[in-house]
Amino acid sequence: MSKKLIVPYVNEESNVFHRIRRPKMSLAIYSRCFKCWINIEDILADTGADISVLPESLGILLVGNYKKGDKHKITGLLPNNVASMYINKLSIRLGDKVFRTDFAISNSNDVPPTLGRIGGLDKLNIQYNRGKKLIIHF
Amino acid sequence: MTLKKKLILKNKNQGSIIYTVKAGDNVIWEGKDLHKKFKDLKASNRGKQLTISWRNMKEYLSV
Repeated sequence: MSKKLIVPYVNEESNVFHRIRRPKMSLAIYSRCFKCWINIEDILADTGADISVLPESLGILLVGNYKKGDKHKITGLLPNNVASMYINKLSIRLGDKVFRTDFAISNSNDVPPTLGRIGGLDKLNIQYNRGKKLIIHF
Repeated sequence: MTLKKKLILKNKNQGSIIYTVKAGDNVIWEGKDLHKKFKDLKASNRGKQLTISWRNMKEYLSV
């Protein structure tokens, strides 16, 4: 029998909508720096993001010198909003599943921690439940 | 002045994300410069599982 992990949507403020519900998940990420798993809550599950993203402060405590990773310029919707990001491979644990995936670590602390598709959400079998929750099937 | 406003003024140049670190169910630290504090937090909570959560002081649009 397959296992399920429920990811509830969380109510938040939005600059477009008064309130909005976003899917926020908890992951354990292995810190190369501290040689331990660290639980990180409220990671945005974002199917619109090609790659997973972490802000600088989290990147430093997970990787140490994250700038050793390959540097890329990454934009969001607006091509003029360019951020420098450094690709680093990290081990993540979700439920019983452990896998390695690339994270783009920003040199800014303004970027919300996000689990994107490549190496992240695309490795999972996810059911969307009417804007209320995600159900991850293992 | 609320704690939220104090944090905005104190840390306005450190980005907009406020981190919270919990040891078990207890909140042990809240602030912006997580990478500078984490080593001490880990040392003073040896053997406990630490959990980090965050909130953004700026509203953002997810697309």
